[in-house]
Amino acid sequence: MEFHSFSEFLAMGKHGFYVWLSYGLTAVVIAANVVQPLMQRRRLIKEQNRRLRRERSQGNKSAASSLASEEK
Amino acid sequence: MWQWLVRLYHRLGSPKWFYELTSGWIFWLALVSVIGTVIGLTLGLLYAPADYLQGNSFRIIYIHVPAAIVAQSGFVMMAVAGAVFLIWRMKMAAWVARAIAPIGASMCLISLFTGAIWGKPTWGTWWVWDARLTSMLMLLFLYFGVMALQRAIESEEASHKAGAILSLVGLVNIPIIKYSVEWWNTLHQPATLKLTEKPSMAPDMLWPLLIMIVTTYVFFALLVILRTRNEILWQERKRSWVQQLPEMAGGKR
Repeated sequence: MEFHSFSEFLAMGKHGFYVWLSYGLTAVVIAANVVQPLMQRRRLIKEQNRRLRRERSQGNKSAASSLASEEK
Repeated sequence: MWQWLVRLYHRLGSPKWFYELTSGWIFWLALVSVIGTVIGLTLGLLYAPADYLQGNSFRIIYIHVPAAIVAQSGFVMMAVAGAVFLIWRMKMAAWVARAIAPIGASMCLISLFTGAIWGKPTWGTWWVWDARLTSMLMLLFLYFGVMALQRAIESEEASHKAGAILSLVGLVNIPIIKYSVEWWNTLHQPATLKLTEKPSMAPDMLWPLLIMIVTTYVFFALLVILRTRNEILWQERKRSWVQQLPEMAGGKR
């Protein structure tokens, strides 16, 4: 191990500010890239379910075209 | 062989096949990304020796270089997907290209600001208009341009076409980035890793870098798959196979 104590690790010689700023900003960008598609997926599924429920409750009249392939 | 290629091509073009195939991959890609990052950064931040010239600031390399490499190969992949769309009208290829653009742009952004932060203690300045830095900034703007075009026009078809054409034209920039450190006198140091030569880095410094590069590729694949699956859910929302997915209200449980 290169560092003898945690405070020495945080200090990174005299480059702590630069190293941790780089890693911190990167973590923010990475987190945004993970959260965004997961939230989008949740929203897509929610919207799709709302649409499906609405179409069902309308007695399958307006939904006839889109659900045609489902009817057997 | 030819038959097999044709079958593979038809499968790749099928959103349903892609969606079902990748369902089981997400967990493993995420697991490898997390484990790779933990191992790579532990070795890089704690065990790699400090650079004899740059001290500890060189540890920025473990995010800077992987991000820069993936930003460039991401652009090439996006252009290839765009070409497949232009030539064979494969919709899946256009959706993959659209998924890659914001992720590649993020990687490019990471490499630019980590480079700027690294430049401050090393060169005494955040930014210089030197060939490597300028061509990398061009890459970011090309990504932004492609992202804008992919959604700019009313017709989906025309937007994808415009995005694909710009990404193919933008490919010119990739060799410029690569050779910028050799063609021009730049402040940026020459490539740390070369496929044709033995690396000049000490193994203790090199291994964490290689681990981080591989991990960043895996993570990139994960993000592309997540976004492509969302695009499929949206584009195919009227299809019965999407409505019957277990996660949907209309699905079989």
